[in-house]
Amino acid sequence: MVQQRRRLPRSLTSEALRERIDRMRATSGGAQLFRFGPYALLPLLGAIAALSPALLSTRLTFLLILIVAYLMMRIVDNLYGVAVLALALALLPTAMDGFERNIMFNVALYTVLGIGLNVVVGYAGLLDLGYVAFFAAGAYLYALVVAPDAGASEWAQNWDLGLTFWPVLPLALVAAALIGVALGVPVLRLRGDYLAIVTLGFGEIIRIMANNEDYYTSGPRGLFLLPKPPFFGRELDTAQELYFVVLVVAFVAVFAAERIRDSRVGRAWEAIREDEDVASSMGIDTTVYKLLAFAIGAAIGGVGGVIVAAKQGSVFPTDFNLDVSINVLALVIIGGMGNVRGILLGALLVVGLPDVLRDFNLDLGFVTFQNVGADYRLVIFGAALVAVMVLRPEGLLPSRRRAAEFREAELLEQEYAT
Amino acid sequence: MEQWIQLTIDGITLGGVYAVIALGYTLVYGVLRMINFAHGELFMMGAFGGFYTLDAFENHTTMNDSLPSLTIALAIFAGMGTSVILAILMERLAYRPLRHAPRLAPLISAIGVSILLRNLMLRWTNARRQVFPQVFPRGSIEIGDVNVTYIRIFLVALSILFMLLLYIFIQRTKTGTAIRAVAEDRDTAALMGIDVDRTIVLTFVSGAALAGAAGVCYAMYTTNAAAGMGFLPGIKAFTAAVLGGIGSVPGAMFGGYFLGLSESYSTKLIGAQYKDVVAFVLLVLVLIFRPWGFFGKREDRRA
Amino acid sequence: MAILSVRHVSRSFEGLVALNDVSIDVEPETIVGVIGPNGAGKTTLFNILTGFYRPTSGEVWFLDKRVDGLPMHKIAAAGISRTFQNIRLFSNMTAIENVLVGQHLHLGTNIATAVLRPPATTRAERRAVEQSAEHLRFAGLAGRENELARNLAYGEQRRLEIARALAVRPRLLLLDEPTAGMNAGESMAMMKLIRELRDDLQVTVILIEHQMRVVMGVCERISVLDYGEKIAEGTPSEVQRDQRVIEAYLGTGQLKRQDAGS
Ligand SMILES: Nc1ncnc2c1ncn2[C@@H]1O[C@H](COP(=O)(O)OP(=O)(O)O)[C@@H](O)[C@H]1O
Ligand SMILES: [Mg+2]
Repeated sequence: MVQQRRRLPRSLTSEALRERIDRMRATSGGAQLFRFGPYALLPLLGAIAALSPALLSTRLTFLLILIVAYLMMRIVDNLYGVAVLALALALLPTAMDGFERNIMFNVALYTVLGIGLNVVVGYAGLLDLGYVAFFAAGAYLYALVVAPDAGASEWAQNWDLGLTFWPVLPLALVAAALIGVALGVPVLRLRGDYLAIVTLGFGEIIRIMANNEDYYTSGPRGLFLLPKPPFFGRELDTAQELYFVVLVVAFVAVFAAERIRDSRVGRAWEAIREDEDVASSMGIDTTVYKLLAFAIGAAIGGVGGVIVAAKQGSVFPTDFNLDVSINVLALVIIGGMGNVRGILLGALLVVGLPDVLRDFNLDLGFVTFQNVGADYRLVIFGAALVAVMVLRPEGLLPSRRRAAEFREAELLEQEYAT
Repeated sequence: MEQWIQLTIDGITLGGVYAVIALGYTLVYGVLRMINFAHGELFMMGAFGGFYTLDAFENHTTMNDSLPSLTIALAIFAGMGTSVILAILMERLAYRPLRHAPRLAPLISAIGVSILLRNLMLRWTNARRQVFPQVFPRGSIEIGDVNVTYIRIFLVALSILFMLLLYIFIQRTKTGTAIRAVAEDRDTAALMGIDVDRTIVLTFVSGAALAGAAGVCYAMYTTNAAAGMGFLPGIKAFTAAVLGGIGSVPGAMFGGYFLGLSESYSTKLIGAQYKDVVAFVLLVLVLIFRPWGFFGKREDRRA
Repeated sequence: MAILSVRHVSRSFEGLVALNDVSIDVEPETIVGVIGPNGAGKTTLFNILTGFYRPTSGEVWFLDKRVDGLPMHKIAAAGISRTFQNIRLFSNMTAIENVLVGQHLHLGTNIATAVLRPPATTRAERRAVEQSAEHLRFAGLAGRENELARNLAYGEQRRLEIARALAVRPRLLLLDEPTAGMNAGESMAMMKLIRELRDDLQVTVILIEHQMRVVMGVCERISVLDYGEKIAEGTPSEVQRDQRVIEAYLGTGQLKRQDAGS
């Protein structure tokens, strides 16, 4: 067995993954799988995507894809996995109906948001429960400056800036980052749990303000009839076209986030997360670096807001309630803090799955739960957050580091127990 | 002028509720250095405990008409019981396994519990408010030109009573001493033979009992119970606890009344639609300028 | 000309006076020992020098610049770095990553260059890794680069703390009980390392130490603290003969026990 090992190309695998793959090869089932190599998964995925709608229900297709994507992310190293995933994600919507394309759009959108929040929570270790504030900022910015004729607020009609989607994207990036810094300056000195509650407060304040203000936001009436992104003389208006926009944004965000994590900046965050005082005695200006994490997270959230405003064509204060922050937090934590692949998986599970199971009824004989996906999703998230923390605190697909941190905590606990 | 007096009475009533909930935050924080994010949901579940108990009785008896005080006591005890049972489960299942985990872990777990309970009740009630049975005698007394309903007087009196009871419990009883010892230094307390696990559970239980009772009273006062009713009071009570200095019992009382009055006056000064913002703004200001609150101890960093 | 000048520094914690009017001058490129019974205020002094605490009164001057009350990262940038009595490594980072964090001040990567990775950034990051490996070698940790800090042996962890502190490129290095918990052989190696720090890297060293053999062996000057006050100062032989020092130690029995124990 040992002699027959076929090494994966060095560039494609990291040390830790290679170890894991080697371990899998040592089992007979694992060896079977590796005879084909992970490359076989690509055509497999393609085949499922192309064929299954004809053979199976489309909902089942989604589940299958989810399983394959999960396997792939477990086995395959970053670059290859991401490439395959990109291709699969790009091909996927062609085989889907409108409802499912919408799901895919949401998964991709929440992946973007997850990557943003992960910079704050996963990298820098700051628990932000008001992430929706930045999402709202981006969405309202778009609604204000694209200035449609009707449905705009008084301010937008007075000023009629008439910008389009594309220039608003970078604008929102910068604006949200600035808001992130502005909100961050007063609160970043706070300890973790205080920070969580204060950010939650900020999220709520922004929503209450948007609801009670009229000149800019039109209050609860909201802003609507917003234009879609122009694209070479036409408009991108189907869920599928906008899905590609988010997909591109998601990949850019993944790329940037991973590179930042692997640099001096990422190390500084990690040091702050591990021991803030010591980090600062190593010369790290902890305030600046925490603000930086906040700003980057906010910027990504702002971009997400612009996209969603463009897709919906409307913005209402109720779009920005606490549930958005909780969804994003849940996907980051359930997927695995600090790890981009975990976030993809988290988005599939937290955003995709409940929609797929929207009208699924669970009959336990003595009691029936109706519309499990739609009505019980938050109940399930709540339980899942507890379960993940207690049973697998590193999340489903943790970063190597996060897993180590949580294992350390367990070891400590054993010490206490004895 | 009457208006200001009225606002003051509103503020004191509300402040009493906040104060009683805040005590739960403060107790748990004192022993575990952890913010029990789900504490507001204990308040809400207590209200429902009382509601469903009354609901069950109302169909069968007319006890209410003959013995209003017994009905009220029954509702309050039912609410306390519900919250206490939930708190024990919560501590055992969601918090105890994480006692030595990194700081974020129990916090996230608590957020999970909070989301779980809130949404469970949301489904259970089909997202509708439940009208709380009218068990408390209507009526009011006149003080000058101002009208004070009985229920308000009851609420204020009860909150003061609870705080006194808690104070005696913490200061005078053996269990209270154990709680203080664990709050001071858990390891030393364990060495002195104090059962730390039990003490922590008892702390949760005391906080939950107060929250449950507060939930029922608040529901009687507002005459309804809803799944979302714990969210804002929970956050406000937390603010109150922080204002007073988290970990400090008198601080929680002070913070509760302070916040209740601020909120009440702000409805006139700024506008009712912004009253919920007041708590958040106060919270942020206190955390920035005086994070140890008015009565709390300043904790220095150690190297 | 003193590199470090501690002037009438006091610090109290809610009435408890941990340091009382302490003044110490340190000449460049010397090895200075700070000794005293437990609770004498030695670590508190380090905490003030590195900005963990502000002094209640008094001043700290370093390289002709007043540094007391500056934020910690500014003090690190001024050239003071330290190790911790209770080891405080980034325990879930590898040895070399710990040292890389120490290099923070000497790298310029920001978000833009991190994302775009221009050749200069790649070169600088690579150089930082090489230098970190060099620091690890210096501290005797060659070959342990990719071990998680918490998996290192106790003595190795103390050495890693020194390597990390060195990566800050300090002019003044504060070592808080570097040989605590070490056996005689390890202590000897640590003494050698401390001398090398000064001789090869021209770093000024202040160390807190209980083992008299180490103190007398490497320190050129010694300050003695007791109940927050400086009770004696001088060369090792002067201090050893000082009546107040003998009394302070006899009172706790520490001098004897530590001497015999090591
Ligand atoms: N953050 C703090 N809060 C309260 N007391 C402290 C603090 N830091 C140090 N002390 C007290 O100051 C005194 C000196 O402590 P320390 O400097 O650690 O002594 P050592 O000489 O053993 O290093 C001790 O009594 C200690 O309890
Ligand atoms: Mg010490």
